[in-house]
Amino acid sequence: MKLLRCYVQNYGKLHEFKYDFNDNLNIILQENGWGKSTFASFIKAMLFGLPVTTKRDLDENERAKYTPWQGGKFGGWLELTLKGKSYRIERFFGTTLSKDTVTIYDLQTNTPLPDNDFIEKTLGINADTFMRSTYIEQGLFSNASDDSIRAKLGKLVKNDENIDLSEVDKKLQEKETSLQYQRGKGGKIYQLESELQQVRKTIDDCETAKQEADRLNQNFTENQQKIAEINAQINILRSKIQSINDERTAQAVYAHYNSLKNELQKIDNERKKLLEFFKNDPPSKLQLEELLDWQREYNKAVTTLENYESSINTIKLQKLKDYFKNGVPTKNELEKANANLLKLNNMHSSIQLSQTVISKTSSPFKILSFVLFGLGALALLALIIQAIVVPNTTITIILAIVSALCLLGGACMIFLSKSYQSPAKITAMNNLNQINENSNEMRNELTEFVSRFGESTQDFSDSIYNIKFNLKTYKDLLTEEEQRAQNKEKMQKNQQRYYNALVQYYSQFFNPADRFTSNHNELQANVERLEILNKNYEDKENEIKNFVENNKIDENSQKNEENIDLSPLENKINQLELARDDIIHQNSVLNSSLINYSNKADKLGFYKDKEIELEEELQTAKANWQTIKHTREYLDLARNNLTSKYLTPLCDAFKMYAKKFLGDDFENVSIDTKLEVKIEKLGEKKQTKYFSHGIRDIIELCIRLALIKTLFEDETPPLIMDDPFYNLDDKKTESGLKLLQELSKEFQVIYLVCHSSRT
Amino acid sequence: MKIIHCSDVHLGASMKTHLTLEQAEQRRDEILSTFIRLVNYAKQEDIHSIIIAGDLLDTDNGGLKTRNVLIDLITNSSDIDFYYLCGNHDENSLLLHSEDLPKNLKIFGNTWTNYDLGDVTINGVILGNNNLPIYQSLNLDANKFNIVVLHGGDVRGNDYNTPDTVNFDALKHKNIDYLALGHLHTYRLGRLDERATYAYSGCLEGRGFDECGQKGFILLDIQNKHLNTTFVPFARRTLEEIKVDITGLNTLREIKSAITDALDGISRDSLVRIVFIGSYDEQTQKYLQLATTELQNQYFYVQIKDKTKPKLDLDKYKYDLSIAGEFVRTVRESNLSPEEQDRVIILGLRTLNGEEVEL
Repeated sequence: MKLLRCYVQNYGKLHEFKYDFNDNLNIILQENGWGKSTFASFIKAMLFGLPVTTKRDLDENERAKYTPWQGGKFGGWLELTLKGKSYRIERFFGTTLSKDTVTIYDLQTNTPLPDNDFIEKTLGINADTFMRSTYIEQGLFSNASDDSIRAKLGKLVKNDENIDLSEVDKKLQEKETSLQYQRGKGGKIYQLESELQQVRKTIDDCETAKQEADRLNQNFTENQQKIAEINAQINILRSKIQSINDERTAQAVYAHYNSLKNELQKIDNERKKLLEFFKNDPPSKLQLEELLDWQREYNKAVTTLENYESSINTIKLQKLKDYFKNGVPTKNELEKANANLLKLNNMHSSIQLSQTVISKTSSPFKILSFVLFGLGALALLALIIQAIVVPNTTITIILAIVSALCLLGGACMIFLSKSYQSPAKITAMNNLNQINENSNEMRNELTEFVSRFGESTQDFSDSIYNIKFNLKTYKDLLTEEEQRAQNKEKMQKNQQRYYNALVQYYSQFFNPADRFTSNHNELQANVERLEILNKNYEDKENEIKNFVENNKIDENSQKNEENIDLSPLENKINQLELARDDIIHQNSVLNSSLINYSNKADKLGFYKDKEIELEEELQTAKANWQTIKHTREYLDLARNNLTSKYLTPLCDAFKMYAKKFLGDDFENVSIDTKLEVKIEKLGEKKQTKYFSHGIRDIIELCIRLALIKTLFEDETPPLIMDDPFYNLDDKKTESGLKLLQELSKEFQVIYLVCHSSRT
Repeated sequence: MKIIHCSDVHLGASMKTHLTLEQAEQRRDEILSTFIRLVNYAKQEDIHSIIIAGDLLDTDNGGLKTRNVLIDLITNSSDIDFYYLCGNHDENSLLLHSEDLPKNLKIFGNTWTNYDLGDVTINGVILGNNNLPIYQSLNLDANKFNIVVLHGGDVRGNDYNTPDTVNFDALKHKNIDYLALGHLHTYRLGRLDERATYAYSGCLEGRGFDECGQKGFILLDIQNKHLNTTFVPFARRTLEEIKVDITGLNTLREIKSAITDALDGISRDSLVRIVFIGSYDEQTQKYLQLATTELQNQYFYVQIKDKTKPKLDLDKYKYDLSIAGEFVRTVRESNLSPEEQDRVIILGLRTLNGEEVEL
């Protein structure tokens, strides 16, 4: 394949750029920033188009990166020869793939080709492979090393040079192993299989439990039916017993009815007896109360009369009668006694007065004697004081005389006073004698009066008072006595009257009739009893009436009591109940087992669900394991394919180029399946790292050319070299340029360079 | 008069959602709790009749404990009459083999049983394999509001002998006012004829992802022979299946965001199945388990289903002289199934790109 010419309408910074290619070395010398990489991209874009990607990194998004800066139509055309024919590829790009236009013209006929992938198909490579093989970027040679050579070779068989296939395989193998160990038991699949096996075993257990639960359920149901049947039999027997009991009840009803009637008869008999007692005229309550009143009055009269005899007043009256046995004092006698007493008292006062007068009538000599004695005493006192304080004989003598005289005079006066009586005193004494005579006379009269009643003569006043008091009491008691005598008569009459009435009444019923209290009690008891009997009779009649109504007693169909033995029926019921209880017990046991089995059987659904889940998971795990296994196999196969397909031609071409550029010394150059280059030197195969950088650059180029030769058998694409020597020294640059000249004999070379020194 | 119509409670049933044993036990208890809650609802709302149109229990012997709880529940709800028709799952229900059935448990036999509630009658029969005579013997008083209780899927025409089916045509013009049905697990309401309404109440709680959405019972309000029905959502939890299309989503973050959007409005109490659909290529970070790990703790249960398909642009490898190109070409030329080829290529290319080995 040879490029003829191109026209860049708009592509990145390139605008209306046209270029005619020669078949050999095309040196495009442009300054830095002109767009050499853009031009290389344009050539690739014309051949293979531009990929669409959403990546924002411009280095990974060529469509965005090379959208024309200046606007305008995005694209251009490229003319080339391919397999002896000339073509023009016109491509213009939009924002999306659908907006792209591409037309490939056959320049001989100027007709467009129907297949827009013509170039790709004819070359057998895509854009990435084209760029990886024929595009030699800056620094290829300067960075040439053993590793980089291998890396460049590797780029052919790697999608990403950072990926190590062995690492990829290792990751896959780890995942594969995590699913299933290569040896022994282990991994997720084994784990799931074990779990599934366990679940299936549990399912079997649950199934067994379910079958057992079903069987127990069947037994349980059958037992329930048996219980129901037994219950039915028991109910029939109980109905029989019930009907017999009903019959018995009916008999009992009639028996009770007869009993009631007997009771009624008894009441009636008793009632009749009482009526007979009362002679069909039982006393009314009023009458009974009246009788009771009569009895009370009678009792009252008796009591009153009894009390009368034993009255205190009667005793007192008797005593007073004794007191006045010598006669009751008249009014005159009492008044005279009072007058005498008054006179006596008056006389006593007069006696006292006269005695006072006699005693108080004093003699004048007596008074004078007192004066003289006083003066004598004073004079004597003064004599003593003077003798002590102011001793003076004269005065002492004087005082002594005075005092002696006074004392002597006093004694004379006393003597005189003894023999002296005054006239007043004589008169008083005469009066006193007269009064005493009268007083004695009064006293004698009073003594005679009070002595009649046995009173004391010491104090006439008290005695007279007593006589008066007793007289009054005596009179009162006599009056009372008279009144009581009248009452007593009245009471005696009452007593007799009530007695007669009561006896007359009670004699109808009792003999003796005068036991009033007991008679009345009995009478009242009989009346009350009669009332009760009447009430009982009425109640009993009602009871019988209601009983007859309630029990529908038919007098004409009296039931005769039959004595049917219920024990056989009851025994049968007991037997059935025992049998039923036994079954209920069986069911209780069954129920417990059934619950256990049911609980297990209930989990059947869960475990079946779990089985499905595990089966799905296991299936997925196995499928994943299979996929990983397949992936590993096919990745290995792809690598082997790739290497085996290209390895032999690659080695041949490499040897050819190595001989061409390195001479015969490097004839024995080899590349192994790992794309490792080894050069035999002096009988020893050595890695490239043992050789100089110059040699290694040549080896790098030889490998790249060998690859191109291998990949493109018939149609060799142009070599696009983007300033590969910019970093080399002048000597190496010169060697490189020579190499370019050599290459241009075999390849169309497009050499993009920014400095004339490297042209 | 208000009446509750429910069916297909399936007490004691196992779950079909790959729950853990603990979660499965919990769900089973929750189903029983929901039925108890329904009875309490009836008590609170002064409703005295509950129609159970079959499959109250999941299996005949399913859960003696459940049976005992039910007997106690019914016995202790003496104000409510339970009209219980056996379904195909509890035909020989242990519930009916109790020694002393509660008086308020009204059952239906193999011939028509009629319960007279005054102006309303409730009639029911257990259908068998020869149902034409049963349909023909149905005779209802036109002057009453007649409810008929049956269990089975709906069929039409002359099909009278298919087990577990109810022939709608055979029930037309029979003076039915309301046909209370069980067997289907999804609520459905429709007209049987000019007079009759038919309804499947659906199940009370969903048990698998084929029973998604709201579940509950139907509340009948009959006033002067006029019927008003209300579907009352009553499930403790719902099952929800959401689809997440990962086509065009390349990063883990984008996929997680799409899941979050799809889960919007779904209760955290729910059982959720996330079905990934669409296509992916070797560039897609299809770490679906990783994308849903956090959700496992946020919802009662989360299940992942990957129904995505690889979509590869292999043309770019056609002339790619690289290990990737050679690998793709080699796989494509292999005898592996197309699906396996896609899986191998995706895995190989992603591994070559340095990504983790994820399938």
